[in-house]
Amino acid sequence: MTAPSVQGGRRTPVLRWSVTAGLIAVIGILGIAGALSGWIWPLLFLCGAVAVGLRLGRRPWLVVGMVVVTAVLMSAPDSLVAYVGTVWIWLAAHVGAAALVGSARRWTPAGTVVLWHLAFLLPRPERRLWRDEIRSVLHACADDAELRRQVRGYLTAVPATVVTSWRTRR
Amino acid sequence: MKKAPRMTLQTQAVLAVLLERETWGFDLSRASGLPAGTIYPILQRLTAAGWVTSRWEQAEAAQEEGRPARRYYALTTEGRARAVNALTEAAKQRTRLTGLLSPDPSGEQA
Repeated sequence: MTAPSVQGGRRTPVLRWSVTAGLIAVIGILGIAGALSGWIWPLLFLCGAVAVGLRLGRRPWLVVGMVVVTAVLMSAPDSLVAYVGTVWIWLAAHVGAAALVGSARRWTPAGTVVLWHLAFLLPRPERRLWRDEIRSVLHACADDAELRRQVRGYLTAVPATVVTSWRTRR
Repeated sequence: MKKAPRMTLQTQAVLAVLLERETWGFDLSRASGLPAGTIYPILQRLTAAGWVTSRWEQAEAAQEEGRPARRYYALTTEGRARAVNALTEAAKQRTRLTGLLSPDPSGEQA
């Protein structure tokens, strides 16, 4: 018996994250050591903006916004940099939070997969029966709304199912 | 003697459907208005009490229709008699409670 496929279980390759983290670390160390002059930072920021924009492909406005902000940062007088920077940090925090929430949603296994694993809480003879029952019920659901309702029903009833299963098996 | 299951409203809804026909999880869910997950432990308790029996349909029959096999539930002879008694008793209690809660027109204060 196999568990249903995990929907949206896309995982970022470890190599890409390692390279990104390595680059950030190298630039950070060079910056701390004073090896990079002041003008390099807006350019690095611009590269970062383009990279993030390409990664979040469905949000082209983000790239445009980052480029504009970078241009403003590079051309604005020092007195304005703090204001532009504040607006940018505020925006970046929201985008970052949205990206985190999105990732968490993508990596959370579907309810059916969770149910499959929760079957291990039941007495051994009961597991297969429960899974088969769930499979037959979910297969009969006509639409996604009904499917979600039934999955939620099974998930919320897990404690009662587990306790009843063990009690009735005694 | 096996202990009688608690007669909650959900249990009453399940029994009412089972009194009508032999049925399976999703159909029972639709008829009772309860999620199938809620019904499952109720059916376990009723089965343990000897009120309900279950059977899996033939795998071939299900395969012909391109779906998983269903588990059908039905009341036993003893279960049917007890379910009728339990539902009748529950209906009486509801009527009593309704009578207590509804205002008595003759008892109105001037």
